[in-house]
Amino acid sequence: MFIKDVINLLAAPQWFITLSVVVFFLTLPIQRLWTGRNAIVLFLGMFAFLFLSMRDPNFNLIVTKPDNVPIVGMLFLVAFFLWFSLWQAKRNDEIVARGGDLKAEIESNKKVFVWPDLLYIEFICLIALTFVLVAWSILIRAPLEEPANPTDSPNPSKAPWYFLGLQEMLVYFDPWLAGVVFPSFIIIGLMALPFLDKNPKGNGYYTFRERPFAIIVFNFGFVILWVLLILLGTFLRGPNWNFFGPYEYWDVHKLEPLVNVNLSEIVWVEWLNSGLPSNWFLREVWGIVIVLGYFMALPPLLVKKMRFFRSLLEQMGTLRFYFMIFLFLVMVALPVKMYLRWLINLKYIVAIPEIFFNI
Amino acid sequence: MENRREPIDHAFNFKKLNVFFAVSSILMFLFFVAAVVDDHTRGWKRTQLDWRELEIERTRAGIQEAEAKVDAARRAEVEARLEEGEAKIAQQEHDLGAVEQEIADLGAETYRADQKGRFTKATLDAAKYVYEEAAAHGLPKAADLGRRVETLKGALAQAILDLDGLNARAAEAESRRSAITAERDAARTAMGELYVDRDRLERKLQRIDHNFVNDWFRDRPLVDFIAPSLKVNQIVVDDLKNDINYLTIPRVDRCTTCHLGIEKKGYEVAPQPFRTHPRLDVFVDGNSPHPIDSFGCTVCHLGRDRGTSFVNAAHTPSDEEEAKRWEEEHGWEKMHHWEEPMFPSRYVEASCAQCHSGVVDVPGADRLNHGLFLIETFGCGGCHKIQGRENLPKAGPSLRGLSGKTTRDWAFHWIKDPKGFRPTTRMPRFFDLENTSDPYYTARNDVEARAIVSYLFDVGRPAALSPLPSGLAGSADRGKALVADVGCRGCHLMEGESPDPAQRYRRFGPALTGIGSKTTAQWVFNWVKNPKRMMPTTRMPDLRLSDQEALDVATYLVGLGHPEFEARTVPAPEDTLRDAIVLEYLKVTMTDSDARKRLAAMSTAEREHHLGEKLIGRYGCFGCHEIDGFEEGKRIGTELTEEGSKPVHRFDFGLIEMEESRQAWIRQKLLNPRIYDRGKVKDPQEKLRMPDFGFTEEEADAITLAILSLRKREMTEAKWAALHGEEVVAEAGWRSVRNHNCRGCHEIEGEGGDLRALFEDPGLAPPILMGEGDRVQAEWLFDFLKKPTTIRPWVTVRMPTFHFTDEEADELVRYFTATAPTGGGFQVVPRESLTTASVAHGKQIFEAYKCIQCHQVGETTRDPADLAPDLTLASTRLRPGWIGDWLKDPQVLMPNTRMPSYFYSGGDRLIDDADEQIVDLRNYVWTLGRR
Repeated sequence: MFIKDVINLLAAPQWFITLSVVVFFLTLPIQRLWTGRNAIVLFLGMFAFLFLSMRDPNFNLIVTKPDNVPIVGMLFLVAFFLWFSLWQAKRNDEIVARGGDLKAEIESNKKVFVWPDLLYIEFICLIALTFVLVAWSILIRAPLEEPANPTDSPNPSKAPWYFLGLQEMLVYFDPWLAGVVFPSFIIIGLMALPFLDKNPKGNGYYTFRERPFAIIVFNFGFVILWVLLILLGTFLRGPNWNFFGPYEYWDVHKLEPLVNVNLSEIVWVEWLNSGLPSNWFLREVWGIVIVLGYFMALPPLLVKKMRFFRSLLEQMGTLRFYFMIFLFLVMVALPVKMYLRWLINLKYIVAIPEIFFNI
Repeated sequence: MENRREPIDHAFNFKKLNVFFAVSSILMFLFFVAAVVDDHTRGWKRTQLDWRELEIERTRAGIQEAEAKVDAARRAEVEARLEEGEAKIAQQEHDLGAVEQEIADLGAETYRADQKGRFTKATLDAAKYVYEEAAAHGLPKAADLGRRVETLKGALAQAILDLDGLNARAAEAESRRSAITAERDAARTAMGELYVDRDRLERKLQRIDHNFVNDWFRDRPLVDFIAPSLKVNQIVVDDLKNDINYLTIPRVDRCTTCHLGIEKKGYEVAPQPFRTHPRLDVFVDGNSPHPIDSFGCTVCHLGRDRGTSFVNAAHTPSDEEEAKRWEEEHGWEKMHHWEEPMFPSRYVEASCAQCHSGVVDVPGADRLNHGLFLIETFGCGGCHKIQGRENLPKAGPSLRGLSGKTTRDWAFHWIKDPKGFRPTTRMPRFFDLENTSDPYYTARNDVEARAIVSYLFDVGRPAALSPLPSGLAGSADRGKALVADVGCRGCHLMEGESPDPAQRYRRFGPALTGIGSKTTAQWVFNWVKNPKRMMPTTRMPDLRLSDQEALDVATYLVGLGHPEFEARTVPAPEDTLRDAIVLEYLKVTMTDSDARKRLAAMSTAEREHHLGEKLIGRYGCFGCHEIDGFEEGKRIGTELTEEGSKPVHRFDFGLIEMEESRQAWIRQKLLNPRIYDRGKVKDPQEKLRMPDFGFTEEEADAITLAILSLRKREMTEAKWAALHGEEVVAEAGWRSVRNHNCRGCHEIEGEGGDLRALFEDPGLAPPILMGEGDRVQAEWLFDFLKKPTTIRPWVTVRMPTFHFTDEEADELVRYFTATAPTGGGFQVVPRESLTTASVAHGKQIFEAYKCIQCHQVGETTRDPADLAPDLTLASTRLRPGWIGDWLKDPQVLMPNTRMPSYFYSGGDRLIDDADEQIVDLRNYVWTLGRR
């Protein structure tokens, strides 16, 4: 079917991520998109896509696999909460724009009794959740597979869903970076956030206009680089970690040519027409310069050239600002590397197998 | 959650929330009930309920049958007695009532007396204790306590006396009562005996019949821990383990949860799953060699032992039709996550080898044995290593003498198309198969075949041929008669015979067809005179043909031609293609330029030779044929020792859409070995190379079965059927019998003797070897095997000379001895028995029974079927004890023999002095040879 083929093609990581990023940046700031009516269209669209696609046997197989059903649920939940927060933010921003008093106008600022207001609601949620779980356990069997065989690894071998984003990064990065460095920076970044973020606005209420940078950057990191990669890893990665479109059959024998080159090879061999130097520093000097430049030259350049960053620097102070920029650049490095891979088949910017270090 | 202004100032609209609360509570309750129902509903419970219905029906029918079987007359008699008894009781009703009242009263008194006695004893024991303590401590009240003890002792004695008295009176009353009711009670017992079967069945029916408790209470959730009627049945077989990779666990076979009739006789036509297991005498029954309590089910049938549903027990349907039916009736689908699904029923025999391995034939497993026989015959072990079957003789003849036997042209056409020359040949087809039949390969195949022939003819070292005897003329007619009669047909099919699947031993050697198109009379003459000189590894024996006979045979055989095969032309040599292929092989081990240099340095002959050598190495010809230069050749195929345990996804199904199972893959491979290359792009050296044997579907099934039987055996160690003592000796002999094809001529242990069927007159056929170890003397047998003599001159078939070594002959003698019913062994005629009187009496009997009529010597006009061996041989050949048994009852030792039985006077009774006559007759015969 033509539309299935189109979707299969568009689901390839390069298109999938690009489209998502474009949609993300276009729609996030455009708040009128987050009204109730548009949301209904969005959610109905998602449901429709799901139900229509279920008729395809390959799609059905992946989506109804008991392990994957929660991920489908997570997709809807993340979309819901994203919409909800942005909708509330829009409402609050409108109140602020016309000069109203937020505290007075938002009901949630009022005091209420624990019983019944808090507990009754919680009780109902408890009952509802219990029956959903009981229903789930009756209708969807627990996934139990064959006895583990040390000579017979399953293909594909996937990490638990919360690490699928990192497993996806392994495609583009050296395991040291994808498995140790980046997760560490994620944790460090999350821990550092309270200290970095000195914007007093948005405390206790949703807002977008009062803290756009924080919201956009965080959501980029969370929705695109974390949740989207989980979805990619769950539904679009098959045997041998090959890409398979949502309607494609998971063929174990599929072979894609791996023709990636290091930056040092591109510069020395392709551009300069000479052999690779034997000394690794000399060989990788281009990449090292670029990476150092990225982290050390780019921040001051950004400050100099862009008013936005200048104002941030003023707001946050030097230490915070440069630390935040460093973390920001680390985060952006991920999509940058992904695009370098897709566009010029770049394997490593800096490749030093002698000390098991590659960027 | 819409906010509305409410008087109480809540965050939520509680009316709405109440609705949510109600709805979710109801839903939770419903789903909770659903969870209990879902947990409780099991497929096997339905099956057990069906079984219960079946049992109720059968029990009811059984009850009716049991009632009908009761002899009406007997019942009437018993009923009459019962009536009489009742009448008598009625008469003495008053007395009976009085006696019964007495018994009841006595009962009450006895109870009181007994209690009194017991309490007295208890009090006494306590008093004794107190007294003893007091006495020990020297307390003053000891004396009083002592007196009390004495009093109590007296009381106890009295109580015992009283009780005895009461018991006596009760016994007396009881006897009075039974005097009145005796008849009636006896009649009741008799009635019970008459109806014992029916009563048993009625009790059974009560247990299982529909009633409130059975239907509504016993199996309900929560209360079914008390006495459920529906429960999972399991057989835990501790010593037969399941290997689940990181662990070995005992088998817990829950099959009998649904297969409730499997052990019971009488359910042979019941609907599945209640049907009785076939062959209860061999399997499952408690008295069989494989009782279900020690073996379980899955050790033979595979499948998931702990499964309790149709699907997750990993049942496998036998064919497409059954699969469809199962899908409809049981919602069957393949259980993906169990690595050892059940065997389809036709492959169950594969499990026999788990315990019965290391033997030539597994007892009772005919299809498995056939499969193993085919594997041996077709020489699968030549390419595929199978541990335990590595030292079998090679399936094909040695090619060392090829260049002396036939021409290059013939060899070329043979290699390309063996069945084109001889349809019954076992040599498979290597060329022009599915993956090598496009125009490029057609030309390449010719080049390859030619190169192989070149190599074989280069390295050949044929034995020197003796010239045909001068002065003798060969006659094809005589030759044909000889071939038909002298015994060739025990191993060879003749021209014009089509193979009969029931006669597999006569295909031991090649069919004698088309020989004239292959070789010369001189070669055939030399061959039949002394096969081992021409080919030391041959299994063809020497039939001690004279020069004239050999010449006749050669003339006949060489007269058989295959004109169509002879007319085939050998295509012109394609040197460029050949050079390209040589280069291809050279480039495997060296660079392109080195390879070209090497090629340029080779002459044409060297190139052919080199290519031939490489190709023989590629196709593994040396696996079946002894070839010079390949003495140490390694088997080229996959090792099959544990093929039956190989994970399914390790089999390369290629691009073929087919059932994903071991058996389907193996069967397909056997029927079309190159099929898994279909659709693939492969270099010549990557292509599959297993040749095509042209198996029939039935043969492919049998071989598949045999290959499935080759599995990892660790988990069944506890039950290995090891051979003990004589069985080991017998096995070695069995192997020898198989390797020399004794069964081609002789019927041994009830099988074989294919040659015998060709003789209308069984007297002309080779003898049946039944209980041979009991019949003949071991030393005689040994000498006979080493150097056969003529025992029955009227039989044209000759026992060949196999040129056994001493060890081989010894092995065979010990085999016969080990398999003899009484175990053979040395016997003498006791000296005291061999008196002149006995011998003289024996001679009288001999003449009276006219033994000489059949046991004739010399020229005779008698029908050969009636002739019998020369009795002068008896004392050197036969065991004296056997002679006696033979004389008494020949049919027991050799069914359908024509030897009459003289010593029975109708039915089973021996005539009066049969034993003495037999001994005397035997003694006479014993002396015959010693003149």
